[in-house]
Amino acid sequence: MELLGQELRKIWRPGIVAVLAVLGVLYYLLFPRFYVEHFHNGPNAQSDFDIAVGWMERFGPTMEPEERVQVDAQLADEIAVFDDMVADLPEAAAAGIVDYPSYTAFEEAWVERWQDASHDDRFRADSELHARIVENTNLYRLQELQTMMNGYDTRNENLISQDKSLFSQYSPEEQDRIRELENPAREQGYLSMHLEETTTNFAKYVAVWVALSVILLLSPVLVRDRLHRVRALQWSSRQGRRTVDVQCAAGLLSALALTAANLAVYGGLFVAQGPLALADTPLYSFVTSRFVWFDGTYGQYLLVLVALVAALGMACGALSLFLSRYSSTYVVMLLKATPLFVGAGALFGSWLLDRTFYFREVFWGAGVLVPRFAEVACVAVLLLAALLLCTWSCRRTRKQELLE
Amino acid sequence: MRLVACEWRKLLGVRTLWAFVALCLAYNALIIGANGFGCSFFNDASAAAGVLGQRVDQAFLDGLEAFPPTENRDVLLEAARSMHNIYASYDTSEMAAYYGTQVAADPLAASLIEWKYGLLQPQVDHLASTGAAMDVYAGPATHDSHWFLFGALLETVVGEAALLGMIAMLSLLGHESQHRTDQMAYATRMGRRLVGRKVVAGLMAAVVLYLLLAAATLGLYFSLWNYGGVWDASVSSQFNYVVEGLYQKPFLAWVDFSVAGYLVAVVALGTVLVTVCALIAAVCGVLVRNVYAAALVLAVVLLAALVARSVAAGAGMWAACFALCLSPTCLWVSLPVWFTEMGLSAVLPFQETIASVLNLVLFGAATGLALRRFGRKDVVPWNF
Repeated sequence: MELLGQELRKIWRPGIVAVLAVLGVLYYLLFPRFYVEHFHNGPNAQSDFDIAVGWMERFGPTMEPEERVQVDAQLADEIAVFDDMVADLPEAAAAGIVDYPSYTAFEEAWVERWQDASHDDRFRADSELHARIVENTNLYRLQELQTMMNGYDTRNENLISQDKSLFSQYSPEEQDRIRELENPAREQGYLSMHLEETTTNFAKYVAVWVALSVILLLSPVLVRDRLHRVRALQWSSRQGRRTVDVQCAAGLLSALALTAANLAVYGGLFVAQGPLALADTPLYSFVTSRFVWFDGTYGQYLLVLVALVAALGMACGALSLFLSRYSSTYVVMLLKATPLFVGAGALFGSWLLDRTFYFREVFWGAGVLVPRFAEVACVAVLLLAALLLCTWSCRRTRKQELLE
Repeated sequence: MRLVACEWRKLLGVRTLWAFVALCLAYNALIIGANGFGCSFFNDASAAAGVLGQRVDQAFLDGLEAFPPTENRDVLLEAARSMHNIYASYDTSEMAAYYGTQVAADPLAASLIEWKYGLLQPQVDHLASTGAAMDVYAGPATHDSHWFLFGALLETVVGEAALLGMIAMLSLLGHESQHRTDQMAYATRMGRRLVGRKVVAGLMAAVVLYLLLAAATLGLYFSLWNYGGVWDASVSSQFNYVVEGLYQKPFLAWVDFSVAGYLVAVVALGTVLVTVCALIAAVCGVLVRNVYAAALVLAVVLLAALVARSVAAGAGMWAACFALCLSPTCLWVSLPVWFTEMGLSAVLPFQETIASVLNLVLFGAATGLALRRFGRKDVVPWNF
């Protein structure tokens, strides 16, 4: 244990911890900060989230048909609020917009002129009026509510499983899953596309940072020992060649600790925005109808994402230790660490957390979807390979002559 | 020079460096291969322009119509028929107004933006008189191909070369301390002046590695994308444009550039940027004895400039934002729009050139000062 403590102190030097902290802040400010500060990116996203949270509180994780009737009253209330707000806009009244039906007629005409590219003075004036109404009423909330209600009402219509030309493009396993998800008896949640995308994009940046921080922490460890030529000292000590195993264990523990710390910080930032209010809602949502392999809730999905990032962090740590053991200088280590970060962190990590478990192409334009839970298999293989390489390098080092 | 050659041999002996170069080339080949969409149309358009010339006039249209009918020809013909001289009535005050509203809270920034776009109007009038907008370039395939070449590919090459240059510099500067030959080396006749030779060798290595990467990558790219009929095209063709969010504007360079001239200019300025990055690495490598620590400090310095610009822009601190746009990292990020008006990334004409030269002078001086400081320090091993 004493040796383990000493190895951990060698890894967690104040200088490198300070630099990692500074880099972490810079990385946060540059990339994931957007998804925290603009967690609800725009009034549409905010409205979606508020409506979904309201439904969670009233109806629970899913909405039953008998509860759907109550939403009609909610819509009527929102329309009444809109009528009151639009009545306070003199320019709206001047244009004959006094209630929601008159606004709807105005909006249809405006959209038609926009589509015809008739951008004359009248169109410009109408655009300004439209912007004023949007800014000064609950229009976003009202229209998002209508969209979500429509999503619920039509959830058993226009099914992919009933469109032969579309359905035939999927593999038999994917078709079975689509039938399962489109089963009218299946419970569907309220997750909006905005929340799904924010979760995905935030998770991708967290994964990349976890990989980078672990690689930066562990890369110099074994190189430092080699440069300082302390192997003879270590191997001739009481611990002997078991030092190699202790170093490996210290490295892996450090990777785990740093990953946990990163997940705690970023998880805290994410959770502080309130997404756990929808933790119990099923991941498959009637709002987006995006096919997904995962059967659990949104909260369980977040836990799985955390596990995937943790596995990625451990894999990068093990690979860093492996590469560090076979690097004679810091520069050689940097030349190995850079492609490790680009490959395992930036590319694989981004891919891994990009709509994990959703029906998505292997890569853009591939035409082939990622198989069921392939992400778990990939990260498991990477972690296993990394641990095996690390273990093998330890065993090999123990059998080497000192001068080799 | 003999010592510089010796330093070069040290670099040549770092096999991992060359494996890294090979990986960079493989990655570049991968992104070229993944960007094949539109290549067929581009090649057909280039071939047509090679026969008919770049300028779209009645002779061009008649000549193109006489080509064997194919889908690509039909699309190009339809696009060519819809062309008109967009610069004849183009007013840069529109761009000034668009960007001016974004910096309106800072009167100085707003006036600088307005001044800049006022300077651009004569160039627009000149483009209108020469009919540059009527160059077909590659027709509808222009935007995507131009942005891939200068936005994705060259930006990647310059980034890779800068990274390699910095690593090569750190490798040379840290070589003696890592191999414990520093005291012996600095006790020779050359003494600590050896570090200056290392810096020179590192700079040369950075430039050579950049040119190697650029030549190999562009060679592969041009073997697939036929630029034969496109070299003479004006980069300000109406088919080339810049998209910033929902805002689209023409690709307006400060001077007339053909595609070939623009490529040479970007590659040349890329050389300066790579050299600047190697100089920054030299400063870090000389001042920070430990190579790994120097690399981390270098990463923090480069990233901090980019973050600071982003934060300054978000906070409406436009003066600071414009100043930070001169930093090497911000220059690299704006590579796809070098030599143009560059939106809010520049307040001066040719700001990327001015900034590159300024950085070269600044970091060259910093390297000189660092070397001078090193010459006066005791050589003491530092445990990191």
